[in-house]
Formats: sequence, structure tokens, C-alpha cells
Amino acid sequence: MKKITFKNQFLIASAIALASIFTSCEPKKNETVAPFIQLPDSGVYIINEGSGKGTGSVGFYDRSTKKVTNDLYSVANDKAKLNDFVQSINIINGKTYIVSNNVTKITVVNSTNFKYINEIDGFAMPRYMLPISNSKAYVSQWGATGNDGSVKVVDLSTNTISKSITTGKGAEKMFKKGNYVYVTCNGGFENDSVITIINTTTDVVEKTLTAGAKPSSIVEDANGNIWVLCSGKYNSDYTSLEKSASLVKINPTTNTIEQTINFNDLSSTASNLTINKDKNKLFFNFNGAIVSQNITSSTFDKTVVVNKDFYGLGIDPTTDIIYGADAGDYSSAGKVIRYNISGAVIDTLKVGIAPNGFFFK
Amino acid sequence: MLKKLYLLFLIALSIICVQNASGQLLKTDSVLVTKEVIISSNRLSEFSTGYKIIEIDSATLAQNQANSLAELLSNYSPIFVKTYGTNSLASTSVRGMNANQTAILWNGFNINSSYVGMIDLNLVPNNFVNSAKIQVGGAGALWGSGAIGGTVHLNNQPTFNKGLTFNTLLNTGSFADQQINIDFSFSKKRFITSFKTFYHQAKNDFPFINNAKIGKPIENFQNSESYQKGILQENYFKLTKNQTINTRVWLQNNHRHIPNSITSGIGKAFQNDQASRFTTEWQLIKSNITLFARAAFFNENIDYYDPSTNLTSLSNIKTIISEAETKYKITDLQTINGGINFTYNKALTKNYSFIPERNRTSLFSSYQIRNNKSTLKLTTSVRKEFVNQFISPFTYSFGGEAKISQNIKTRINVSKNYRLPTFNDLYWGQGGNPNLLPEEGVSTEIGIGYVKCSDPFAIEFETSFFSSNVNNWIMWAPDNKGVWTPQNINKVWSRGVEMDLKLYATLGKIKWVGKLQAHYIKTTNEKSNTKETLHKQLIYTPLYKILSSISAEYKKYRLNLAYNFVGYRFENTDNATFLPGYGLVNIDFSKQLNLKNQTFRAFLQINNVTNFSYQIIPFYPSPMRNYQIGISINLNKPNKI
Repeated sequence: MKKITFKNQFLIASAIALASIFTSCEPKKNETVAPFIQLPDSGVYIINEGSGKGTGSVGFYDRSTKKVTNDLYSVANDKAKLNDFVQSINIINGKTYIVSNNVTKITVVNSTNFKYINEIDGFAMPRYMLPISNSKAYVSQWGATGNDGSVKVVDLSTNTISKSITTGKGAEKMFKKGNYVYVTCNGGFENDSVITIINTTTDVVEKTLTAGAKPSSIVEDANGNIWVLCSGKYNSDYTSLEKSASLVKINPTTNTIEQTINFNDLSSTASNLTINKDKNKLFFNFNGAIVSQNITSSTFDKTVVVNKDFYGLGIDPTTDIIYGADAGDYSSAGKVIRYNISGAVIDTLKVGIAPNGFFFK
Repeated sequence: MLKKLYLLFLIALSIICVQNASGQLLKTDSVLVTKEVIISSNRLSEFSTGYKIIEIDSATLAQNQANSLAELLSNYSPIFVKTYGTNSLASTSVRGMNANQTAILWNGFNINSSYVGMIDLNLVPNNFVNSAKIQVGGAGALWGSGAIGGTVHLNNQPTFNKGLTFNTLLNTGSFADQQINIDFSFSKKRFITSFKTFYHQAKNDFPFINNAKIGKPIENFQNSESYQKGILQENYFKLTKNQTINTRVWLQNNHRHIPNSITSGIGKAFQNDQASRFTTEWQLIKSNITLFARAAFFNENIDYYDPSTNLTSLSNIKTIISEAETKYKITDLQTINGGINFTYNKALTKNYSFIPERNRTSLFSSYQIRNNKSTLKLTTSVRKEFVNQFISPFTYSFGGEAKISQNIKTRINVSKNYRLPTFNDLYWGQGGNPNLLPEEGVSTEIGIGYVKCSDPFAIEFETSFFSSNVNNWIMWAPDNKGVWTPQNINKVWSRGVEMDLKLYATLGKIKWVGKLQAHYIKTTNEKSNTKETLHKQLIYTPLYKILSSISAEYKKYRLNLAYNFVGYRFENTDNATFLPGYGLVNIDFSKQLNLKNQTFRAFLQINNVTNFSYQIIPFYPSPMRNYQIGISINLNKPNKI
């Protein structure tokens, strides 16, 4: 065998050194995303909050093709990213408004192709957007500190904020009926227990109702009454609940609380109030499950429909299908599990990171 | 024993070859042979048998006096440094582990904060350190809680009887980066006093490509300015021929703005970090017995303000460490040491509902035996820590080194390591989990090194294979009430191969040095509720890191050309998306002028020569091409004889 000289060893080592610098590789992306977006008029939007650092997204479930298109914004806009912590969307006059919690801006895109149009600036921890008229919308927000509360009046023709209405702390979900908007005020990072009622013709507070601890979500039932779910309140060190969750029923003609159903149960908070297609049964998350509550019951039914907890919950008003958003570890693709109204699984959809809610159209 | 070691190595090699065939691993051959490190005061030199130790040489340290430890470790060590924008938080990742699984020791004292379990590497100035060594792999039996992925040893080593020395460095760089260092030392036969200071400010408003926005506009990074100043004062006394005593005071003040990710808008947050560190050490070195006693007091403030959200978070952390250690030479071939360490931590912050305190008592011992020719060396170390509220595991390590031939050396190490949860993990107001268990696991590694010198060439070459498990890995995730809380939910397995190669050649009047460090490290989550995240690589943790450089020295001119590559990092726990790898070309050029008792050095650094746009953490941009230029002056007046 020919002896390898030291000089040769040296050269071989140098060659290996050089070679190994250029040998690492990246995994192939096997994404098969549509090159452009053409959204149908109706469908289910999936809001994926993300875990920060550009991971928030909005997805779309097509009821007819049964297919999900994830991260519409990135696909439609040359891989651009939405602002961090996507909270909610709303569609007004062919424009989709995307509300991200961590920034001062709302992103406006074309509803059909999801192409970026512009931004509306001037918010502080915005949460939800609600159309009031063709030229006006309300945006609820927590304020910079996360423990103020206000509703910003947005002029949709100029994309500017025309007015600010002070509400309870942590203005959250809103519901419009007639000339009134009901704003649930959950306290933001702190606690509150009020529902602020705004007169939409004058944009001033009409009345403030005091409900249970942390009013957070709101629906209307078949009788035209408005239901607000109050989440319940933790003690100061977050080890146990101090105030139980409750449901309140508001009579929209008198704007008074007509009924309060206190759960008298400190084992869990309640969240994500929604209602079935017939609007006679309330659904929400309680104690690791989806439970239902008959609108005629006078006490907490606690009827378990699905024995699984969800970060977001919705019922498709056209199909009566329950959509449960499973955020998993909040750092990988989430799942949406669909159930029929009696709680039998239909299918599971792979969605974006940390899905927190739905927008049905 | 030798045969067994060799057999083990062959087995490992065949495993690697199989993986190679599947194209998974780098074609690696070897690494740097562990140098015999000489260190005055701790267990690293004597009882680190079987570990890989990487020393950052003094020329490199000298070249990087104007940088922080973050840049030094990132450019010259196997550590992956996670930075959230220049001068902002920089944390370590050794062999896939997290920052709080890397022990950072300053003269033998652990300076990781008990609050968050780590120290920000951007807060350690290089001119405050004379020696930087990285012990790769778990060494919990030697260094206690937190030494799982590796241990960074930063030391100050003075020289007696050097006379009067004055050093200064002036540096200026891109993005309004300015630094001045002034060091002064007075060194007599039995006494040294030294005074080091630095001031550093940088605006860090570097341009970057905003890939989150449509059209990818070039923007300037904002809210990233930084102002740092510090003093290190040291005194060393030779009490008798065998006894020395020293004191050190390190005071530092940092005011930094904390940038947001570019998808979260421009923030206004800033942070003031203030640290006062006081240490003292006594040593008695006799022919067969050595005694050490050392103590430290650290007082740190981390004050965070966010004017836009009106948030103020003030935290104060106090640490007291005292340690006594003795080393006894039983025979010429056997050494034993034993010691006791008390560590006290206290944190004062309104983020906790009370003021947590922690007392930790550690008993440790090591035993080493060598053969006559010193071709075989075996070391066993054990350590048991007693902590209030915790049952911490008994940690150990077994290490062996064998010189197989003139040129070849093999080594093996098995260790049990652990880490206590941080105060934040345990007591954070909203979600802290006081029921957490310590993380613990076993690391195994083997290495083989080859050295050959034959004028005018020399090769040093080492390869290591390792496997390391961590059980009860602490992760923050929402609980069933939706509150973010840490839990011992994961189990992490890190394994890989590292190779280090150094080539030296003196051709004519030019001294050439070529270096290559290449790593392939897979760090996966082995316990999960969903199959999508099981066996998946940890997020932001690269599989590949390659450091390569070539330097030429001619008549005190030195040119160093480096190409550093960090491979892709996954962004999500299901490994669905990743951040692309980045390769950076850096050039250093310096000219030194030596006069009698005076040395002048002028230097120029060009970083990221190819103007590459990259992000280490998603949507935290890094600077593109940038420059640093500076001069250092060293004046020495020797003592009169």
C-alpha cells in the first residue's frame, strides 16, 4: 500500500474541510398552495391567532369543496405576514378587515382575492370590528395597557378614526340590534363586569349594565333576547376562581337584564358563547367540554355535548355544524374538529397556528 | 479497557456511517484535540477527563475586545447564539439545549440569574475576560444545576511582576457603534491591582429587508439602541510562597431598548440591567494538597419599562455563593478532591406574590487515576445538591482518556445532569408552577482526536459523537384554564456528531492557520400528546453549524477570512415551516506595531461581506454588511529589578 505522506494528509484534510462547508441542505417544502386566491362568496373563515413572530394567519374553509386554504394573506401577498396575534376579522362592503391584537393597525384586504389594500392606524390592542352602516364601523379595544376600554368609531370612507367612546374596561365582543350596540367588557388584563350599550345614531353611551364577572361573549336568541356569557373571575394569584361564571339575558326593548343564571360552580371559567341555527340553544366552553343551555332553562343545564376543550368555538348558522378550534401546543398547526349539533364528529381540518375563532359567511 | 473504548468508537462510527448513507449527516471526519488547559483555580483542568473543551485563543480574544461575548461565542465556538436583534437579548444553545441548560461560570461562580436561569451574553464585555473556554456536554457533577448542554468558563488570569500596564482601545463601527476601553494594571512581585473600564454605545438602526411586508421594502431597525458601561477592579496578593488571595468587583450598567419583532410594530420598551458582582478567593497550593475558599455576592436589577403599554417590571436578584474545596494527591498517579458549595438566591419582584428564596448546599468530589506513562486517565465525579423544596438527583460523571498511539487519543464520558426550575417557572404571578420537578438526564459521548506535527505543517483533528437525554423538560403552555403555565411535559433527545479540524502551516514568511468546526446535531421532542410534534426538532434550533476560517500572518499583518454557516431552524413544533440557513463571510484585518514596551494595533472588521439578509429568530432582522474600525494601544513599564 502506498504510504500517504503527511503533505497529502494535509491536502486531503483541507479538501474535506472545504467540501463539508457546502454540504448542508434544507428540507424541501412540499406546500401545494394555490398561486392565487379566488374566494367564493360564502364559507368559513378560520382565525389563527399564531404565537407571535409572524405566525398569525387567516384560513378559509370552502363548504362545497370541503377544502381549507391556510394563510390566505401570505399566499395572496407574496409571502407577506399579518401583524402579530390575529384576533378577529369582519367583512364590510367587499373588504375584509383583519384585526391584530399586538399592533396599532387593522389590515384591510380585498375580500375576494385577499390582496392588501391598506391599513387603518390608531388603535391600541384592538379586538373586534363591527359594521354599523356602509360608512361606519366600531372597533372594540383594550387600550395600550390592556386594562382600559373603548370603542373606536371608524369612518370607512376615509379609513380614519372619527371618534372614541369610553366603555367598561377591556371592550371585547359587540352585538348590534336596532340602534344599539352591546359591548361586553371583560376587563382586559384586569376585571370588569359591565355591558356598555352604545346608541349608534349618536355614537354615545346610552346605558351601562352591570352583569356577572368578565362579560366576554354575546349572541341573540330566537326570541330576540340578547345573551351575554360572563367568564368568571380568578383570585389574585390565579390558583382558583373567586367568582363563578354566569349567563345574563338582556331585554333589548328595555335594555335591562331580565335574567341571570349563575353557574355557582368555581371549578371552571366559561368562554366562547355561540348559538345553534334555530337560536334556541346556547353553546359554550365549560370545564373542558362544550356544553349547551336551553334558552328557556332557569338554571345552568350543564349538558355536555362534546367532551373536549376548545380555544375557539363557533356554530355555522347555515349548516348547524359545530366548529371547535383546538390550538394544541399553540406553536404548531392547530386543528378544527367539526361536529354535528348533537356532538358526533364529522371531520378534522388542519389549520394555522393557535386557531381562536371563526367568521361564518 | 482500551480495546473496549476502541470497540465503542467503532460501533459509533458504523452507526454514523449508516446515517451518512441516508444523507442525513455531514461527512465528518474529526476535530480538534483537547488541549491541556492550564487554569489556576478550578476543577476544569484536572477533572474534565473525557470532555471536549474548546478554548478561544488569546489572539481571537484580542481581536474581539470591542465585541461582547455573544459575538465571540457565535463566531468562534460551537454554541448557537439566539439573538433578538443586535445588542438585544442573546442566549446560548449548546448541543441543542436551551440557555438555562448552559452554565456560565465567571472565575468558577455561576453567573446565570436565578430569575430566568440565564445571563444575556450581550452583557458580558470581552475585555473583562482573559480566558474563555467552552466545556461541551453535560457536567452536572462538576458544576451543579444547569450544566446540561455545556459550560462556559470565563476567567481572569493575571500575571505577577509585570510592571505598570496601560491598555486602551477605541472602536467605531456601523450604525453609530462606539466603544472605548481603558485598562490599567500595576503588577509587582507579590501584588497586582488592575482596573478595567468600558463604555459602549450603539444605535443599531441598521437597514434590513422587511420580508413581512408586501414588496419587501428596506427599512431601518428601530428601538434597538444600547448604552453600556462597566468597571472591573481586581486585586491579587501573594501572602506567602504558597498562598494567594484575590478580590474582584464587577460593576455594570446597561440601558437598552428592546425591539419588537417586525410583525409587532415598533415598540418603545427599554430595559435597565444593573449588576454588581463581588468575589474573593483564597488559595493554598502545597506539593500534595491544595485548598481553595471562595465567596461571591451578586446584586442584579432588571428593570423593564414599556411606555406604550405603561408597563413597569422591576426585579432585584441577590445571590450569595460560598465554596470550599480541597485537592489531595494520594500518589503521583491518583488525585482526589472534595468540596462544599452553598448558594443562596433571592428575588424581589412584583411579578411574584411573595419573595422567593432558595438555599442550595452541594457536596462534590472527584477522583482521578492515571497510568505511569499518562496514556490512560480515568476520572469519576459525584455531586449531590440539597435544595429547599426539591429533591434533586444525585449527579455523576465517568470519564476516560486513552492515548492509543503517538498521534491518536480517544475519550469517553458519561454523565448524569440536572437543572432546577427558575424562579419565573415556579412563581410567576400568573401561571408559575410551584410543583415543577427538576429536569434531569444522562449524556454520553465519545471522541477521537488526531494530532500530527511535521514541519512546516501541523494537523489537529477531533471528532465527537454524543447522545443526551433530558427528562421532565420544562415547557410553558396553556393549561386547561387557558393560563400559560410551565410543566414538565417534554422529553428531549439531542444527539449528533461534531468535528473540529485545525491546520497550521508556515510557508516562507507567512503563517497560515485554517480552522473548521462542523456540527450536525439533532434535538427532538420525544414526548408529546400529538403525533405531529413527536420526534420533531426543537424550534429555532439548527441542525447544522459550520465555522470555517483561514488566517494568514505576515510581519505582524494579520488577515482572517471566515465563513460561518448556520443551517435552517424550524419555526414550529410540528416542523411545518423553517427559517432558511445563513452563511456569513467576515473579514478581519489588523496590523500590529511593536516598539519597546509599546504595542499598537489597528484593526478593521468587515462583517457579512456579501450583504446577506437573514434572521436568527423569525422577524428579528440581523444587520447586513457592516464595518468596525479601531485602534488599541498597550504601554508597559516593567518593574525595576
